[in-house]
Amino acid sequence: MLFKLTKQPRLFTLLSAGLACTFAFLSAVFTDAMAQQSEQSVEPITVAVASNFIRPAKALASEFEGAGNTSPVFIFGSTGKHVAQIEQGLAVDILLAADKARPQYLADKGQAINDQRHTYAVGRLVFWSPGRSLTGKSLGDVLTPENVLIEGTSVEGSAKKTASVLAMANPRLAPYGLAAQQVLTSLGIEQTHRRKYVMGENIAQTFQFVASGNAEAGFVAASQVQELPADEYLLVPQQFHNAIEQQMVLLTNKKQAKAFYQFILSPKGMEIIRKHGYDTR
Amino acid sequence: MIAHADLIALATTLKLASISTLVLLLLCTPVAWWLANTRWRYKHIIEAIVALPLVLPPTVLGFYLLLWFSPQSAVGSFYQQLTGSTLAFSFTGLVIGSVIYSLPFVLQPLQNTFSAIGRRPLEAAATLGASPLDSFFSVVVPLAKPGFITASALGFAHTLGEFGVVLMIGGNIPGETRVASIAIYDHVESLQYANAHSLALVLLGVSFLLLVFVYANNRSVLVSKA
Repeated sequence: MLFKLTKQPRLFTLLSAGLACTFAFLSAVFTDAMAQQSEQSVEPITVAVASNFIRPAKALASEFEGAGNTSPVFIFGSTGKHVAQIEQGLAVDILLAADKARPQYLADKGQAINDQRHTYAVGRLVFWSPGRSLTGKSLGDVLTPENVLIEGTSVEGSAKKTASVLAMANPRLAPYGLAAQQVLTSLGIEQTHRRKYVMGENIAQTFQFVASGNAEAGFVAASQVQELPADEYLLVPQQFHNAIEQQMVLLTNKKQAKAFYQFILSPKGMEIIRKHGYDTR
Repeated sequence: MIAHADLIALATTLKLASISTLVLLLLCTPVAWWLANTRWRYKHIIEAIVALPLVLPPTVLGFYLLLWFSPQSAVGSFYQQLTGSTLAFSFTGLVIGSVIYSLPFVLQPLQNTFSAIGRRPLEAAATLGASPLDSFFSVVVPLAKPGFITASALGFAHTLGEFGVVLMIGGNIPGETRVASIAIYDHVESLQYANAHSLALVLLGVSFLLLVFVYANNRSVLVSKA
Protein backbone atom coordinates (compact mmCIF):
# COMPACT_ATOMS: atom_id res chain seq x y z
CA MET A 1 0.00 0.00 0.00
CA LEU A 2 1.60 3.18 -1.11
CA PHE A 3 -1.00 5.56 0.21
CA LYS A 4 -2.84 5.34 3.47
CA LEU A 5 -6.24 6.91 3.93
CA THR A 6 -6.19 9.78 6.34
CA LYS A 7 -8.01 9.66 9.62
CA GLN A 8 -10.57 12.16 8.36
CA PRO A 9 -12.43 10.22 5.69
CA ARG A 10 -14.91 13.04 5.10
CA LEU A 11 -12.21 15.58 4.43
CA PHE A 12 -10.45 13.09 2.19
CA THR A 13 -13.61 12.37 0.22
CA LEU A 14 -14.32 16.06 -0.17
CA LEU A 15 -10.79 16.73 -1.34
CA SER A 16 -10.80 13.94 -3.91
CA ALA A 17 -14.22 14.98 -5.16
CA GLY A 18 -12.93 18.54 -5.56
CA LEU A 19 -9.84 17.34 -7.41
CA ALA A 20 -11.91 15.12 -9.69
CA CYS A 21 -14.19 18.05 -10.56
CA THR A 22 -11.20 20.28 -11.31
CA PHE A 23 -9.66 17.68 -13.62
CA ALA A 24 -12.96 17.06 -15.38
CA PHE A 25 -13.39 20.78 -15.94
CA LEU A 26 -9.85 21.30 -17.19
CA SER A 27 -9.96 18.36 -19.58
CA ALA A 28 -13.29 19.59 -20.96
CA VAL A 29 -11.77 23.00 -21.60
CA PHE A 30 -8.70 21.52 -23.30
CA THR A 31 -10.69 19.15 -25.50
CA ASP A 32 -12.85 22.06 -26.56
CA ALA A 33 -9.84 24.21 -27.40
CA MET A 34 -8.27 21.41 -29.40
CA ALA A 35 -11.50 20.75 -31.30
CA GLN A 36 -11.68 24.41 -32.24
CA GLN A 37 -8.12 24.39 -33.45
CA SER A 38 -8.65 21.42 -35.72
CA GLU A 39 -11.76 23.02 -37.22
CA GLN A 40 -9.70 26.00 -38.30
CA SER A 41 -7.03 24.08 -40.20
CA VAL A 42 -7.53 23.06 -43.81
CA GLU A 43 -6.14 19.57 -43.86
CA PRO A 44 -4.11 18.53 -40.84
CA ILE A 45 -0.72 17.00 -41.52
CA THR A 46 1.66 15.32 -39.13
CA VAL A 47 5.41 15.64 -39.54
CA ALA A 48 7.94 13.58 -37.59
CA VAL A 49 11.06 15.69 -37.03
CA ALA A 50 14.53 14.70 -35.81
CA SER A 51 15.40 16.34 -32.49
CA ASN A 52 18.23 18.41 -33.97
CA PHE A 53 15.85 20.12 -36.40
CA ILE A 54 13.21 21.40 -33.94
CA ARG A 55 13.89 25.10 -34.35
CA PRO A 56 14.16 25.27 -38.15
CA ALA A 57 11.07 23.05 -38.40
CA LYS A 58 9.07 25.53 -36.35
CA ALA A 59 10.38 28.43 -38.43
CA LEU A 60 9.45 26.60 -41.65
CA ALA A 61 5.98 25.85 -40.29
CA SER A 62 5.21 29.43 -39.34
CA GLU A 63 6.26 30.64 -42.80
CA PHE A 64 4.20 27.87 -44.44
CA GLU A 65 1.20 28.69 -42.27
CA GLY A 66 1.57 32.39 -43.03
CA ALA A 67 0.96 31.60 -46.70
CA GLY A 68 -2.51 30.30 -45.84
CA ASN A 69 -1.62 26.65 -45.49
CA THR A 70 -2.29 24.18 -42.73
CA SER A 71 -0.36 24.26 -39.49
CA PRO A 72 1.73 21.06 -39.46
CA VAL A 73 1.55 19.02 -36.27
CA PHE A 74 5.07 18.04 -35.24
CA ILE A 75 6.25 14.93 -33.48
CA PHE A 76 9.78 15.60 -32.27
CA GLY A 77 12.07 12.76 -31.35
CA SER A 78 14.81 10.48 -32.52
CA THR A 79 14.62 9.16 -36.06
CA GLY A 80 15.11 5.58 -34.83
CA LYS A 81 11.98 5.82 -32.70
CA HIS A 82 10.04 7.49 -35.48
CA VAL A 83 10.91 4.79 -38.00
CA ALA A 84 9.91 2.05 -35.57
CA GLN A 85 6.61 3.82 -34.88
CA ILE A 86 5.88 4.49 -38.55
CA GLU A 87 6.48 0.82 -39.32
CA GLN A 88 3.96 -0.03 -36.62
CA GLY A 89 1.34 2.21 -38.14
CA LEU A 90 1.89 5.69 -36.71
CA ALA A 91 0.17 8.07 -39.13
CA VAL A 92 2.87 10.46 -40.28
CA ASP A 93 2.83 12.38 -43.55
CA ILE A 94 6.46 13.44 -43.75
CA LEU A 95 9.54 12.22 -41.92
CA LEU A 96 12.39 14.70 -41.52
CA ALA A 97 15.17 12.32 -40.53
CA ALA A 98 18.55 12.94 -38.96
CA ASP A 99 20.37 10.87 -41.56
CA LYS A 100 19.85 9.37 -44.98
CA ALA A 101 20.06 5.70 -44.06
CA ARG A 102 16.71 5.51 -42.38
CA PRO A 103 14.67 7.34 -45.04
CA GLN A 104 16.35 4.92 -47.44
CA TYR A 105 15.21 2.05 -45.20
CA LEU A 106 11.59 3.27 -45.34
CA ALA A 107 11.81 3.78 -49.11
CA ASP A 108 13.16 0.27 -49.55
CA LYS A 109 10.13 -1.01 -47.67
CA GLY A 110 7.90 0.76 -50.14
CA GLN A 111 6.64 3.39 -47.71
CA ALA A 112 7.78 6.44 -49.69
CA ILE A 113 5.30 8.01 -52.11
CA ASN A 114 6.81 7.94 -55.63
CA ASP A 115 10.13 7.23 -53.95
CA GLN A 116 10.19 10.90 -52.85
CA ARG A 117 13.34 11.27 -50.79
CA HIS A 118 15.48 14.42 -50.64
CA THR A 119 18.39 15.85 -48.73
CA TYR A 120 16.90 18.88 -47.00
CA ALA A 121 19.86 19.85 -44.82
CA VAL A 122 23.53 19.06 -44.37
CA GLY A 123 24.52 19.22 -40.73
CA ARG A 124 27.73 20.88 -39.59
CA LEU A 125 29.66 19.70 -36.58
CA VAL A 126 31.27 22.09 -34.09
CA PHE A 127 33.74 21.54 -31.28
CA TRP A 128 32.27 23.44 -28.34
CA SER A 129 34.09 24.31 -25.18
CA PRO A 130 32.32 27.01 -23.16
CA GLY A 131 34.24 29.24 -20.81
CA ARG A 132 37.46 29.19 -22.81
CA SER A 133 38.33 31.26 -25.83
CA LEU A 134 39.11 29.29 -28.96
CA THR A 135 39.77 32.37 -31.10
CA GLY A 136 42.57 31.87 -33.61
CA LYS A 137 42.92 28.18 -32.81
CA SER A 138 42.35 25.26 -35.08
CA LEU A 139 40.89 21.94 -34.12
CA GLY A 140 44.35 20.38 -34.37
CA ASP A 141 45.62 22.84 -31.73
CA VAL A 142 43.09 21.85 -29.11
CA LEU A 143 42.85 18.16 -29.87
CA THR A 144 46.14 16.39 -30.53
CA PRO A 145 47.29 12.85 -29.83
CA GLU A 146 50.09 14.13 -27.57
CA ASN A 147 48.02 16.62 -25.67
CA VAL A 148 45.56 14.08 -24.40
CA LEU A 149 44.01 16.56 -22.05
CA ILE A 150 42.19 19.39 -23.68
CA GLU A 151 44.40 22.43 -23.74
CA GLY A 152 43.78 24.83 -20.92
CA THR A 153 42.40 22.19 -18.63
CA SER A 154 45.55 20.14 -18.37
CA VAL A 155 46.39 19.88 -14.72
CA GLU A 156 49.37 17.60 -14.93
CA GLY A 157 51.82 18.49 -12.21
CA SER A 158 49.20 20.16 -10.11
CA ALA A 159 47.95 18.52 -6.96
CA LYS A 160 44.46 17.98 -8.20
CA LYS A 161 44.17 15.68 -11.15
CA THR A 162 40.99 16.12 -13.05
CA ALA A 163 40.06 13.81 -15.83
CA SER A 164 38.81 15.80 -18.75
CA VAL A 165 35.45 14.79 -20.08
CA LEU A 166 34.65 15.03 -23.77
CA ALA A 167 31.06 14.61 -24.86
CA MET A 168 29.83 13.31 -28.19
CA ALA A 169 26.65 11.72 -29.44
CA ASN A 170 26.50 7.95 -29.63
CA PRO A 171 27.98 7.05 -33.07
CA ARG A 172 25.62 4.09 -33.33
CA LEU A 173 22.52 6.22 -32.93
CA ALA A 174 23.26 9.76 -34.02
CA PRO A 175 24.84 10.94 -37.29
CA TYR A 176 26.58 13.75 -35.42
CA GLY A 177 28.13 11.12 -33.15
CA LEU A 178 29.37 9.16 -36.13
CA ALA A 179 30.88 12.34 -37.57
CA ALA A 180 32.56 13.13 -34.24
CA GLN A 181 34.09 9.68 -34.20
CA GLN A 182 35.39 10.19 -37.75
CA VAL A 183 36.95 13.50 -36.66
CA LEU A 184 38.82 11.82 -33.80
CA THR A 185 40.05 9.13 -36.19
CA SER A 186 41.13 11.74 -38.76
CA LEU A 187 43.12 13.57 -36.09
CA GLY A 188 44.73 10.30 -35.03
CA ILE A 189 43.32 10.46 -31.54
CA GLU A 190 42.81 7.13 -29.88
CA GLN A 191 40.39 6.71 -27.04
CA THR A 192 42.58 6.70 -23.96
CA HIS A 193 41.85 6.19 -20.32
CA ARG A 194 43.11 9.66 -19.57
CA ARG A 195 40.30 11.33 -21.35
CA LYS A 196 36.80 10.25 -20.54
CA TYR A 197 34.42 9.99 -23.45
CA VAL A 198 30.76 10.24 -22.66
CA MET A 199 28.03 9.62 -25.16
CA GLY A 200 24.67 11.28 -25.36
CA GLU A 201 21.74 9.39 -26.80
CA ASN A 202 21.25 12.23 -29.25
CA ILE A 203 22.80 15.57 -30.06
CA ALA A 204 20.43 17.46 -27.72
CA GLN A 205 21.57 15.39 -24.77
CA THR A 206 25.19 15.84 -25.76
CA PHE A 207 24.59 19.58 -25.70
CA GLN A 208 23.14 19.24 -22.18
CA PHE A 209 26.21 17.36 -20.96
CA VAL A 210 28.42 20.30 -21.95
CA ALA A 211 25.94 23.10 -21.11
CA SER A 212 25.47 21.77 -17.57
CA GLY A 213 29.24 21.83 -17.06
CA ASN A 214 29.55 18.08 -16.53
CA ALA A 215 31.65 17.72 -19.67
CA GLU A 216 34.27 20.34 -20.48
CA ALA A 217 33.90 20.13 -24.21
CA GLY A 218 31.99 18.25 -26.81
CA PHE A 219 31.07 17.77 -30.42
CA VAL A 220 27.64 19.26 -31.03
CA ALA A 221 25.64 20.54 -34.00
CA ALA A 222 26.33 23.99 -35.46
CA SER A 223 22.59 24.65 -35.30
CA GLN A 224 22.73 24.38 -31.50
CA VAL A 225 25.38 27.04 -30.95
CA GLN A 226 23.95 29.74 -33.23
CA GLU A 227 23.18 32.05 -30.33
CA LEU A 228 26.37 31.44 -28.35
CA PRO A 229 29.54 33.58 -28.38
CA ALA A 230 31.51 32.70 -31.51
CA ASP A 231 34.81 32.17 -29.65
CA GLU A 232 33.37 29.26 -27.66
CA TYR A 233 33.23 26.90 -30.60
CA LEU A 234 35.13 25.83 -33.71
CA LEU A 235 33.42 24.78 -36.90
CA VAL A 236 34.86 21.39 -37.79
CA PRO A 237 36.21 21.43 -41.38
CA GLN A 238 34.16 19.12 -43.53
CA GLN A 239 37.14 17.11 -44.74
CA PHE A 240 37.39 15.53 -41.28
CA HIS A 241 34.13 13.62 -41.58
CA ASN A 242 31.58 12.34 -44.07
CA ALA A 243 28.80 14.80 -44.82
CA ILE A 244 25.94 14.68 -42.33
CA GLU A 245 23.16 14.47 -44.86
CA GLN A 246 19.66 14.72 -43.46
CA GLN A 247 16.97 13.38 -45.72
CA MET A 248 13.21 13.60 -45.67
CA VAL A 249 10.68 11.25 -47.10
CA LEU A 250 7.08 11.79 -48.17
CA LEU A 251 4.83 9.08 -46.73
CA THR A 252 1.29 10.01 -47.82
CA ASN A 253 -0.52 11.52 -50.79
CA LYS A 254 -2.13 14.41 -48.90
CA LYS A 255 -2.12 17.70 -50.79
CA GLN A 256 -0.89 19.72 -47.83
CA ALA A 257 1.83 17.17 -47.13
CA LYS A 258 3.12 17.52 -50.69
CA ALA A 259 2.89 21.30 -50.40
CA PHE A 260 4.92 21.38 -47.18
CA TYR A 261 7.46 18.97 -48.68
CA GLN A 262 7.85 21.23 -51.72
CA PHE A 263 8.00 24.33 -49.53
CA ILE A 264 10.94 22.90 -47.57
CA LEU A 265 12.81 22.36 -50.86
CA SER A 266 11.93 25.83 -52.20
CA PRO A 267 14.54 28.63 -52.16
CA LYS A 268 12.65 30.27 -49.28
CA GLY A 269 12.71 27.02 -47.28
CA MET A 270 16.39 26.44 -47.98
CA GLU A 271 17.16 29.99 -46.83
CA ILE A 272 15.41 29.37 -43.49
CA ILE A 273 17.34 26.14 -43.05
CA ARG A 274 20.70 27.83 -43.79
CA LYS A 275 19.86 30.56 -41.27
CA HIS A 276 19.76 27.89 -38.58
CA GLY A 277 23.31 26.70 -39.12
CA TYR A 278 22.88 24.01 -41.77
CA ASP A 279 24.27 23.75 -45.26
CA THR A 280 21.97 22.85 -48.11
CA ARG A 281 22.48 21.05 -51.37
CA MET B 1 23.21 -15.33 -28.99
CA ILE B 2 24.26 -12.47 -26.75
CA ALA B 3 27.18 -10.22 -27.57
CA HIS B 4 30.00 -9.73 -25.10
CA ALA B 5 29.18 -6.02 -24.74
CA ASP B 6 25.61 -6.91 -23.80
CA LEU B 7 26.79 -9.33 -21.12
CA ILE B 8 28.89 -6.54 -19.61
CA ALA B 9 25.84 -4.26 -19.65
CA LEU B 10 23.83 -6.97 -17.91
CA ALA B 11 26.52 -7.37 -15.26
CA THR B 12 26.60 -3.60 -14.71
CA THR B 13 22.84 -3.60 -14.23
CA LEU B 14 22.98 -6.41 -11.65
CA LYS B 15 25.83 -4.69 -9.81
CA LEU B 16 23.97 -1.38 -9.78
CA ALA B 17 20.73 -2.96 -8.55
CA SER B 18 22.50 -4.93 -5.79
CA ILE B 19 24.52 -2.01 -4.47
CA SER B 20 21.60 0.42 -4.66
CA THR B 21 19.31 -2.02 -2.82
CA LEU B 22 21.91 -2.48 -0.10
CA VAL B 23 22.38 1.27 0.33
CA LEU B 24 18.61 1.76 0.34
CA LEU B 25 18.09 -0.86 3.06
CA LEU B 26 20.73 0.76 5.26
CA LEU B 27 19.28 4.20 4.65
CA CYS B 28 15.58 3.39 4.81
CA THR B 29 15.49 1.11 7.85
CA PRO B 30 16.12 3.86 10.44
CA VAL B 31 14.00 6.39 8.55
CA ALA B 32 11.09 3.96 8.17
CA TRP B 33 11.35 2.99 11.83
CA TRP B 34 11.31 6.63 12.87
CA LEU B 35 8.35 7.42 10.59
CA ALA B 36 6.43 4.42 11.90
CA ASN B 37 6.92 5.40 15.53
CA THR B 38 7.27 9.14 15.77
CA ARG B 39 4.44 11.24 17.14
CA TRP B 40 5.87 14.35 15.54
CA ARG B 41 3.05 16.54 14.23
CA TYR B 42 4.65 17.22 10.86
CA LYS B 43 5.85 13.76 9.93
CA HIS B 44 3.50 13.73 6.95
CA ILE B 45 5.72 16.40 5.36
CA ILE B 46 8.66 13.98 5.45
CA GLU B 47 6.39 11.23 4.11
CA ALA B 48 5.40 13.47 1.22
CA ILE B 49 9.02 14.36 0.45
CA VAL B 50 10.16 10.76 0.26
CA ALA B 51 7.27 9.96 -2.10
CA LEU B 52 8.28 12.75 -4.48
CA PRO B 53 10.60 10.61 -6.68
CA LEU B 54 7.37 8.93 -7.83
CA VAL B 55 6.11 12.22 -9.22
CA LEU B 56 8.91 13.39 -11.49
CA PRO B 57 9.37 11.52 -14.75
CA PRO B 58 12.71 9.68 -14.56
CA THR B 59 14.33 11.69 -17.35
CA VAL B 60 13.34 14.92 -15.60
CA LEU B 61 14.72 13.63 -12.31
CA GLY B 62 17.87 12.68 -14.22
CA PHE B 63 18.12 16.13 -15.75
CA TYR B 64 18.06 17.80 -12.34
CA LEU B 65 20.59 15.31 -11.03
CA LEU B 66 22.80 16.26 -13.97
CA LEU B 67 22.58 19.93 -12.99
CA TRP B 68 23.22 19.01 -9.37
CA PHE B 69 26.27 16.88 -10.24
CA SER B 70 27.83 19.65 -12.32
CA PRO B 71 31.14 21.07 -11.08
CA GLN B 72 29.40 24.44 -11.28
CA SER B 73 27.00 23.44 -8.50
CA ALA B 74 27.92 23.23 -4.82
CA VAL B 75 27.45 19.47 -4.56
CA GLY B 76 29.32 18.71 -7.77
CA SER B 77 32.27 20.96 -6.99
CA PHE B 78 32.57 19.58 -3.44
CA TYR B 79 32.70 16.04 -4.83
CA GLN B 80 35.20 17.05 -7.48
CA GLN B 81 37.54 18.60 -4.95
CA LEU B 82 37.25 15.50 -2.82
CA THR B 83 37.85 12.90 -5.51
CA GLY B 84 39.07 14.71 -8.62
CA SER B 85 36.33 13.31 -10.80
CA THR B 86 32.77 14.26 -11.59
CA LEU B 87 29.70 12.48 -10.26
CA ALA B 88 28.01 12.50 -13.62
CA PHE B 89 29.14 9.71 -15.95
CA SER B 90 30.35 7.56 -13.06
CA PHE B 91 29.05 4.41 -11.38
CA THR B 92 28.87 6.26 -8.06
CA GLY B 93 26.64 8.84 -9.70
CA LEU B 94 24.36 6.07 -10.95
CA VAL B 95 24.11 4.60 -7.45
CA ILE B 96 23.09 8.00 -6.06
CA GLY B 97 20.52 8.41 -8.84
CA SER B 98 19.11 4.91 -8.29
CA VAL B 99 18.87 5.40 -4.54
CA ILE B 100 16.77 8.52 -5.02
CA TYR B 101 14.74 6.95 -7.80
CA SER B 102 13.90 3.75 -5.90
CA LEU B 103 13.59 5.29 -2.43
CA PRO B 104 9.79 5.12 -2.06
CA PHE B 105 9.77 1.48 -3.16
CA VAL B 106 11.96 0.46 -0.25
CA LEU B 107 10.80 2.94 2.36
CA GLN B 108 7.05 2.45 2.11
CA PRO B 109 6.92 -1.35 2.62
CA LEU B 110 9.34 -1.04 5.54
CA GLN B 111 7.33 1.72 7.16
CA ASN B 112 4.09 -0.23 6.78
CA THR B 113 5.68 -3.34 8.25
CA PHE B 114 7.08 -1.46 11.22
CA SER B 115 3.72 0.23 11.80
CA ALA B 116 2.00 -3.15 11.79
CA ILE B 117 4.44 -4.56 14.31
CA GLY B 118 3.87 -1.61 16.62
CA ARG B 119 5.69 -0.87 19.84
CA ARG B 120 4.38 -3.73 21.97
CA PRO B 121 6.99 -6.37 21.12
CA LEU B 122 9.67 -3.78 21.84
CA GLU B 123 8.12 -2.87 25.18
CA ALA B 124 7.95 -6.54 26.09
CA ALA B 125 11.62 -6.92 25.22
CA ALA B 126 12.45 -3.84 27.26
CA THR B 127 10.74 -5.26 30.36
CA LEU B 128 12.96 -8.31 29.91
CA GLY B 129 15.96 -6.01 30.05
CA ALA B 130 16.95 -5.81 26.39
CA SER B 131 18.58 -2.59 25.20
CA PRO B 132 16.67 -0.70 22.44
CA LEU B 133 19.24 -1.68 19.80
CA ASP B 134 19.29 -5.29 20.94
CA SER B 135 15.51 -5.56 20.92
CA PHE B 136 15.38 -3.94 17.47
CA PHE B 137 17.73 -6.50 15.98
CA SER B 138 16.48 -9.59 17.84
CA VAL B 139 12.78 -8.77 17.91
CA VAL B 140 11.78 -6.30 15.21
CA VAL B 141 14.06 -7.43 12.39
CA PRO B 142 12.95 -11.10 12.49
CA LEU B 143 9.31 -10.02 12.73
CA ALA B 144 9.76 -7.61 9.84
CA LYS B 145 11.50 -10.14 7.59
CA PRO B 146 8.67 -10.31 5.03
CA GLY B 147 8.70 -6.53 4.88
CA PHE B 148 12.44 -6.47 4.29
CA ILE B 149 12.09 -9.06 1.55
CA THR B 150 9.33 -7.13 -0.20
CA ALA B 151 11.27 -3.87 0.12
CA SER B 152 14.44 -5.44 -1.30
CA ALA B 153 12.60 -7.09 -4.15
CA LEU B 154 10.81 -3.89 -5.12
CA GLY B 155 13.95 -1.76 -4.82
CA PHE B 156 16.01 -4.27 -6.77
CA ALA B 157 13.44 -4.77 -9.51
CA HIS B 158 12.79 -1.06 -9.85
CA THR B 159 16.52 -0.37 -10.27
CA LEU B 160 16.87 -3.19 -12.83
CA GLY B 161 14.32 -1.46 -15.00
CA GLU B 162 15.76 1.99 -14.44
CA PHE B 163 16.26 3.83 -17.68
CA GLY B 164 15.49 7.53 -17.78
CA VAL B 165 17.74 8.54 -14.91
CA VAL B 166 20.68 6.53 -16.25
CA LEU B 167 20.11 7.90 -19.75
CA MET B 168 20.49 11.43 -18.43
CA ILE B 169 23.44 11.05 -16.06
CA GLY B 170 25.20 7.94 -17.38
CA GLY B 171 26.94 8.89 -20.60
CA ASN B 172 26.86 5.33 -21.95
CA ILE B 173 30.35 4.25 -20.81
CA PRO B 174 30.83 0.48 -21.30
CA GLY B 175 31.37 -1.38 -18.05
CA GLU B 176 30.58 1.65 -15.94
CA THR B 177 27.34 3.38 -16.85
CA ARG B 178 26.09 1.37 -19.80
CA VAL B 179 23.36 -0.74 -18.19
CA ALA B 180 21.17 -3.35 -19.87
CA SER B 181 18.17 -1.07 -20.34
CA ILE B 182 20.38 1.46 -22.17
CA ALA B 183 21.92 -1.29 -24.30
CA ILE B 184 18.45 -2.51 -25.28
CA TYR B 185 17.44 1.04 -26.14
CA ASP B 186 20.56 1.47 -28.31
CA HIS B 187 19.68 -1.69 -30.21
CA VAL B 188 16.11 -0.54 -30.76
CA GLU B 189 17.19 2.93 -31.88
CA SER B 190 19.67 1.51 -34.38
CA LEU B 191 16.97 -0.86 -35.65
CA GLN B 192 18.82 -3.99 -34.45
CA TYR B 193 15.67 -5.54 -33.12
CA ALA B 194 17.02 -9.10 -32.87
CA ASN B 195 19.76 -8.02 -30.44
CA ALA B 196 17.22 -5.98 -28.49
CA HIS B 197 14.88 -8.96 -28.19
CA SER B 198 17.51 -11.37 -26.91
CA LEU B 199 18.93 -8.93 -24.35
CA ALA B 200 15.44 -7.98 -23.14
CA LEU B 201 14.56 -11.65 -22.87
CA VAL B 202 17.66 -12.36 -20.77
CA LEU B 203 17.01 -9.34 -18.53
CA LEU B 204 13.41 -10.45 -18.00
CA GLY B 205 14.45 -14.06 -17.39
CA VAL B 206 17.11 -13.18 -14.84
CA SER B 207 14.79 -10.75 -13.05
CA PHE B 208 11.97 -13.27 -13.01
CA LEU B 209 14.16 -15.98 -11.47
CA LEU B 210 15.47 -13.57 -8.83
CA LEU B 211 11.99 -12.41 -7.90
CA VAL B 212 10.64 -15.97 -7.78
CA PHE B 213 13.51 -16.86 -5.47
CA VAL B 214 12.82 -13.88 -3.21
CA TYR B 215 9.09 -14.44 -3.00
CA ALA B 216 9.54 -18.17 -2.46
CA ASN B 217 11.66 -17.31 0.57
CA ASN B 218 9.04 -14.89 1.74
CA ARG B 219 6.44 -17.65 1.55
CA SER B 220 8.50 -20.12 3.50
CA VAL B 221 8.79 -17.53 6.28
CA LEU B 222 5.05 -17.22 6.45
CA VAL B 223 4.54 -20.97 6.24
CA SER B 224 7.01 -21.67 9.01
CA LYS B 225 5.29 -19.13 11.20
CA ALA B 226 1.88 -20.71 10.68
